[in-house]
Amino acid sequence: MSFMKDKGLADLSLKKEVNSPLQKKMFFDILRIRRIEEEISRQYSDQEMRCPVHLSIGQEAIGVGVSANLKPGDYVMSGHRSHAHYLACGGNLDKFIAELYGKETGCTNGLGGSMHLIDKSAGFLGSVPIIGSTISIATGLAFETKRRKKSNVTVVYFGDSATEEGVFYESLNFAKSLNLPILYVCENNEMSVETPFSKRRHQQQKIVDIANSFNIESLCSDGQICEGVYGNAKYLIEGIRCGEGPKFIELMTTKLVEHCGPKIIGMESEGVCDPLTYYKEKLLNDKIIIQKDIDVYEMDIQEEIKKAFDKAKKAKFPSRDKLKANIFYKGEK
Amino acid sequence: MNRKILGREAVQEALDVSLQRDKDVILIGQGVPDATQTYGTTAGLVDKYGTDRVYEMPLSESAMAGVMLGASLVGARPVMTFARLEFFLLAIDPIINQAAKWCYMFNAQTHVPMTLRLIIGRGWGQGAQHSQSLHSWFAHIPGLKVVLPATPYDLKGLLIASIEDPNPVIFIEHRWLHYNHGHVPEGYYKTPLGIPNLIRKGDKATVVSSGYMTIESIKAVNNLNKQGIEVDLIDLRTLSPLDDTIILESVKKTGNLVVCDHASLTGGFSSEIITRVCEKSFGSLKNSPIRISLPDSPTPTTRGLANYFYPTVKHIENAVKSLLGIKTEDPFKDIKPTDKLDIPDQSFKGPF
Ligand SMILES: Cc1ncc(C[n+]2csc(CCOP(=O)(O)OP(=O)(O)O)c2C)c(N)n1
Repeated sequence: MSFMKDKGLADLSLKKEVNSPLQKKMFFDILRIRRIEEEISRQYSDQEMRCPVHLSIGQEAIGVGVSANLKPGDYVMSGHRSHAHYLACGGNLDKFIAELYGKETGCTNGLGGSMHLIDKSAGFLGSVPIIGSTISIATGLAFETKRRKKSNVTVVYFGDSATEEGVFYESLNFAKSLNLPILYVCENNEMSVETPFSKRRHQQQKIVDIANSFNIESLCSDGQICEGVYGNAKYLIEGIRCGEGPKFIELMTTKLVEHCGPKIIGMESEGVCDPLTYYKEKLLNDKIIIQKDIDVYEMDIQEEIKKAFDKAKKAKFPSRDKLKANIFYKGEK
Repeated sequence: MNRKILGREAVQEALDVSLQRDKDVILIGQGVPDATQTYGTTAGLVDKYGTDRVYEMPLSESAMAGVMLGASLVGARPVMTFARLEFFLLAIDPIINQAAKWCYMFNAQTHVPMTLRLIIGRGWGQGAQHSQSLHSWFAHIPGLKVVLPATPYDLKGLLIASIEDPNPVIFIEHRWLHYNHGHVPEGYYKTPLGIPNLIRKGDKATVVSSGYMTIESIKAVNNLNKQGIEVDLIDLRTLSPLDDTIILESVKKTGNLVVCDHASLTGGFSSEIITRVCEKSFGSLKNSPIRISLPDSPTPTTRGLANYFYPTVKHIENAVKSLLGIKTEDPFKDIKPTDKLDIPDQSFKGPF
């Protein structure tokens, strides 16, 4: 059971919305991201992935549940902890792993590393580690899609700490005033590095209330239960697609890793809900899935992951002339 | 009496001594009181001085810099820590528009005694947004003092002097200096702001350097000494204020000038040093001066490129040699993309 529910948070449960193919897809997506992150964690100590990594372990259900509502043409942006967001919306795995190894085959050809991911073909237009920066930049994506009368939606993910930055308030204000098509997704793991939420905000304040006070429709729900995330995001994103303007969702979650680095911290601690275990048990119980399906899928992903790591390790570093190649854009206007 | 400690311990001692001596000194920053204690530089301080002297800070750099400016107007002497220089860039308005002008605009009726510790990252994929060196930019702002310590001795002495200074001071701490050992006296002492330090003496050339680059320059000068080439090595210590007397005197003696700066080339502080020498002592130059700097490029994350981004000890050595007419090779010649040059020493295992 999720500890979040005990806190009495809103959780619009879905009845008819989810069908078994979707449930399977979301479960496998969580499982895949988990196995990828675990492999990064395992191999990090070889000291060949030489960039800071902020693993998504424990928070995978959010990216997966939200992404299940996205369509081609939608945009996604994120911050320093973006692996799950990138992978969930279809970011290329080989390019991602190669990026961690700093290779020329990486998604930024090695220039960015774990904290600067991009996959334009998946609509993932960039993640950056300066807290809060992509909140306004993503608002700009929404501004321009609206100006162009396009129907696509922008999703931006950020952590609880980003809501302490002025840019959060300024962006919400602007997005509301122009009714921009954007979903703000706050992953609240109640930690900023080693500092608990309670030391950074008054006890009685809730992030969701801030967004509400801008007259932006906002929900707070459990981020560990993928179907709940999916359903709430679906409700909000459909509203955005109908022209209702910006929406906000705060998802309560738990980081099951150290802030930065490879260390996974126990899933067994009391009160912690692991989104993967929870969903697996649920789907097995509900007979949506059988253990054999899971075993087969596990083997497929292991294969996929192994290939990605092998390719990344074999790939070359970018050649020295790439150092200053792209400071300015030299393509067509 | 020649006690040697690490750079990060020197910073911790400076903060400790300052908190001890002046009850108006307060510390604030993300992680300053938490378990990570800003890489050990604030270790034990919250326990010793309490939570009304040592504060955690929300992710609100802009507002908090303004808040600290305000506090400093009515009695506090804040020391703000930014774990990366980049995070400070969110606080540009309160510091550049306000703090730097406050004394002047109000004709010295109030003043802003605050210190901003900015930490520069390097290596292990710090990349474009965790490694910038922008001291030249800050030195361009009248009303800000800009301090770039190099040795553990100066990390402590200059930090104490910065905190005691009645003006806004940008104190730039290169992350790799935390790993450096050196002589540091116990207790209280100050390194005055504005006076460069002549670290090595010689008559063949003048090497001017600052911050982390001085650590590389010391190694280069030691190598040159072994080859019988003696040079003056001057560590700037502060960019603003800066008394250039010692530089001008040295160039008069040597006629050769190399300026090393851990920042991109164009518009960098090395240009300021060379300009001053040209303006005030043009006739003493025997050769065109040489600048050693980072390239005009953002920092690449992959070590495959970062290995060719940061100038090496060899670059500094070669610059001196070329002024003396000695032939040199490409200093990057023996560096391979796979080399693990992206760590300060073997004790560093990532990730920050
Ligand atoms: C402007 C800025 N200030 C400080 C930091 C340093 N920093 C990196 S991650 C982090 C905490 C982030 O917490 P949160 O946004 O809640 O995300 P989480 O890591 O918990 O997923 C901090 C303080 C930063 N990257 N950018």
